[in-house]
Formats: sequence, structure tokens, C-alpha cells
Amino acid sequence: MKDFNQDQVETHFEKLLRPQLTWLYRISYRFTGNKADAEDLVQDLLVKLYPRRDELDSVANLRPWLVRVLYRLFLDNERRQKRSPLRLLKRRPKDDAEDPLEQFPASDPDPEQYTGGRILSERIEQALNMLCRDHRAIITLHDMEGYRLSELETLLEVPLGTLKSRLHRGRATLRKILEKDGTF
Amino acid sequence: MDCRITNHYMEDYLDDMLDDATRGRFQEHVERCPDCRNRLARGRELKNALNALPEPILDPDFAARAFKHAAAAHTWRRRIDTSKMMRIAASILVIVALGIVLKGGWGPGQLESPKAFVQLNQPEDVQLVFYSEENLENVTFRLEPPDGIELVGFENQREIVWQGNLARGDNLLVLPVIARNREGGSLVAEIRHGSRNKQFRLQLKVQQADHPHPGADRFDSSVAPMRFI
Repeated sequence: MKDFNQDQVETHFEKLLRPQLTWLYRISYRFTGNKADAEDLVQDLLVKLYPRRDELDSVANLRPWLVRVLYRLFLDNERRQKRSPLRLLKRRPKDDAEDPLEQFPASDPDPEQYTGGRILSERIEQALNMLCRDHRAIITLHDMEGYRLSELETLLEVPLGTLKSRLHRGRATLRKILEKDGTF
Repeated sequence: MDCRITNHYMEDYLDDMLDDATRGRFQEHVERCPDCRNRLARGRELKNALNALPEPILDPDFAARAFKHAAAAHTWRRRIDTSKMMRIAASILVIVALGIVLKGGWGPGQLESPKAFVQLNQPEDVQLVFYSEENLENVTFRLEPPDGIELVGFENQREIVWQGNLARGDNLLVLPVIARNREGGSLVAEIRHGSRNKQFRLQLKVQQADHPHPGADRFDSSVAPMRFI
């Protein structure tokens, strides 16, 4: 790569990662719960990876490697936020101007067209956003992205027992929230 | 296998992590137990619903912006992201703006006492959900953790007071807490707006890290709803 000129370097970097962008954004969106933070997380990832282009070239299976870096970045960002004065008060999405659901194509305003599936999705999105970061992350990666716990143990460098505990507690919390609002 | 053990294995069954023998006993019980069958169905329903969530849509111009920015950040050794800075500025306002409160039904002596479980010497987030019927400005918030419980970042402070606004609807207050002894106690949250005030008491129970509370009850430790409609 060092023989490339700057334009070629950029092109090569983009060629490697552009096919992963939609997927990275989807995970980031599930991690963070809103569009702006998801975009920032993907952006931060690209900034972090740009100086590591040579390393990227040598990675045989890019996605697991990217998941690991993305997850660590997500935790780092969350920790930074935690250090700010009283990390309080984040409005729940249904009242938030950055309602993640605004990103989805609008449905027909006719209530009859507002399908049960969409309502269910909205409520699940809202409930997911009420989980703590660890629970949200494990549910995203395991239940939604299909990574096995044994894979995640290696990828995230978190003991299997801890992952299972987070997953079970996260689901239990989700069910409680959804049962409470009558969704389930 | 009885209901209690079946419940213990429920998540592992859903994740196909049981050995053949245990899975067989689990299935035998579920076939003859309507309650466990129902719990299993709800577990599957949740998994299916999570898988069916719609794909978030990436802005068409994001990729071009992001790659350009990554290259520029590397070259300039700094990041220039006006939109992000504006969002950070906005989020500071939001941080101040959220809190607790409601329009009606205020008054001294109105106490809500949900319960939450935290583990000894481990930072944990306790989340409180509050509902406000309208946007409110100049709200005073006061937090008073019990002895032996500290708010992370505010260690040794027995009272934290700040002012802010409240948004209409549900508001989420995330409290990073750490229990320094096993005693637990009531965390007091008070909200004042004009002549009105309301106090909440959250019962914090402390448990040993190696004796976690059963998963089904963990809801109380991570989300303590205080809804006032």
C-alpha cells in the first residue's frame, strides 16, 4: 500500500469498507438507538481504521474483526459520556426529536394501514433503547445479527457466563417492558 | 423437571445450548405444562420480533461524507465535524433539560417507592422513568443517595442539586451508582417547579456480586418506572 498515492490509498480503503457500511450502520444503530449517534460511531470507526489500512488488508475475515473494533469503540464512547457530569437524563425515543423511527419510511397515515407489525417494531425499538449498553449490545449481536455466544466470547473478550447473564437479563427486561405496555 | 428448573433453562433452550438429555426433559415438561409452554412461546415471539425489526436506513450521502472525513481526519490529525459539535452542544441542553416531573398530582408527601437491586462494589446503572404532561422550564432536581451508595462521579457527595427543564412525555434518568456496603437504603429524588414539588424514594437493595438476583427480577434493578399520567 505504501506505493499507492493518496488518492489510491483512499480509494483502496473505501473499496474495502464501503460494502460493510450498511451493516456497520445497522449494528451501530442498534447499539446507540438513534441515527445521529450511529452515524458518529461509524464515522469514528472509519477515522480509527484509516491509519490501520495495512492491517485491514491482512484481515482474512473482515466482519468479526470489525465487530470487535466497533464494540470497543462503542464502549469507549459510552465511558467518555459517563465521565461527563451526571450522565443523566436521556429522553426516551418516543418523545425525542431524534426519534429513531423517523428514519423508517413513513407508513400510510390511515390507522387501518398502520399494521400490527409496524407497531410492534416501534415498541420493540423503544424498549431496546431503554436497555443498558451491555444488554443492548449482546441482544444486537446475538439475537439480531446471529453471532453465537461462543463466537462473541472470543470477539468481545467477555467470558461466556457474563455474556449469557447479560443476554438473559436483557431479554427479561425487554419482556417486562413489553408486557407492561401491553405489547406482549 | 419442574417449572422452576424449566424456567431456569428457558433461555438456553431458546438459544439451543442445552445438551440432548436436558433438552429432552425440558421438552417433556413443556408439553404437559401450559404455563411453561406459554413462557416459551413468548420467548420465541420476542426473538422473532427482534429479527423482524426493519432495517435502519443509511443516508445515501453518508458514505461519501464519512470516507472523505476519515481521510481528512488522518491528514489533519484532527476532526472537524460541525454537525457533531452542534449535536454535542444540543445534547448538553438536553441533559439539563430532562428530569422528572409532571403537571398534575404534585405535592409534598406523595412518595413512590419502587425497588432496585445493585451489586456490591460494582458500578451499575439505575434507570428511572418519569412522565411529565408538559414541557417545564427551571425545574430544580435534587438527589440524595443513602449512606453506603454513591453516584459514580459524585463520590462522597450526599446531595446533588441542579436545575434544568423537562420535556413532555417520558423522561429517562440514568443514575450510575455503586454500593459501598450491604446496607442499601432509599435514594431520594426531589423535583421542584415553582411552588410544586414531588419526592420519589427508590429502595436500593444490595446483593453480593456472586449471588445475583434471579434474572426474572432484574427488571427492577435496571429500570424503575415512576409513571404519573
